[in-house]
Amino acid sequence: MTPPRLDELPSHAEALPSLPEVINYLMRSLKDESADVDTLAHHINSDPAIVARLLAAANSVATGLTTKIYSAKQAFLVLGADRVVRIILASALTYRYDTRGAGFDARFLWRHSLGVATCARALAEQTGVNPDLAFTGGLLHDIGQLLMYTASPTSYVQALELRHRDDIPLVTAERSVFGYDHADAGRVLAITWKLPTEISDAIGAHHEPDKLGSEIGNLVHVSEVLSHALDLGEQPDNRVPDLSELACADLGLSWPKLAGLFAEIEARYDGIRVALSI
Amino acid sequence: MKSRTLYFPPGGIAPGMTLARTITDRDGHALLTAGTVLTLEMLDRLIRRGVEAIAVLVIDIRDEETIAKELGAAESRVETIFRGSGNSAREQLREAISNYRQESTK
Repeated sequence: MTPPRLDELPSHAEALPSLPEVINYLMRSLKDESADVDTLAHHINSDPAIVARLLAAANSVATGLTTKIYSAKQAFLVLGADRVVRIILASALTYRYDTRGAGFDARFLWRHSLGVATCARALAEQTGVNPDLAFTGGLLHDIGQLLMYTASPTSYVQALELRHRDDIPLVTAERSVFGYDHADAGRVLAITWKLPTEISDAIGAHHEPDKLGSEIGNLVHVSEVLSHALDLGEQPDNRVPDLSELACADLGLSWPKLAGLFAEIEARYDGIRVALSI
Repeated sequence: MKSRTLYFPPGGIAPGMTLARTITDRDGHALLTAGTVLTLEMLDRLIRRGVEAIAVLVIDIRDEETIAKELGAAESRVETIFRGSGNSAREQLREAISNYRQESTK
């Protein structure tokens, strides 16, 4: 069977579960300084499944707190809005897009994506990029893999096998089977879902940031490579991809300086991974 | 007794552990200084302040042989995940990761 062309992918996006309205709202409010706790909590309370997962994850993050968190509003007051938004985005996405089938298991994808999101936020704090946008871009950077697998499971598993057999980068294997890669597919999905431009840029640029030259694209690219280098998620056939010299230079990164953050990044990653049970 | 510094998320810290590094807020002000013995109330405050990683002193019961084995395994894993050729930016990252693994395993 011939895999779908890139321009045919938007029609396959309907086969994926739709993006929950709350998530859409949270992504649009990422850059909105005026979003107040009551409005955010009100939106979150409209989706009981999301509230339940928020409370489970929030209480896990806050193990050691002297009080239990029992409502969305309380989670905002105790943990702060940016932290609660991160927990909701990560828990809702990993739960809703838990695609599994022969030869494909989205749990590995989410473990890796959480690693990239953690690195992206830590690097954003050092470079002056919006840390919440960076985290979300990191979380969604590989979403194109889900769309490619959903659109053509047989072809996608073929690409995964090719990557494993020849020990080549995933994007190379995908291009040889599909004619495009998951960064292209993810960008198409982000546009179909009407996500903020920064997010679609981050997704589209995460393997080849120099083509776009955007700050968020550079940041998510470097975070992708750093997450592989720190072995976050410990994927069995992990191999550190090439790192753009230009992206590092544009962000003003110095590895000897950033090395002081590595242990903290690993602990942050463990904290959120345990909280989300992934 | 020998001790080493390890980072944990707040959920992995028990009251009674000793802080290995000073915790500062975003503006660089010290919240708790290195050497402080953590209490439940302090941990509660740190979680509410959004602290996600805490460095504590942990007693190191490993003998020389165990440490040597762990160093070997860490270096071998770095070599595996950095297999194949790469550009110079990737090489610089490899060096930083390799040094970090050696330092944190010792």
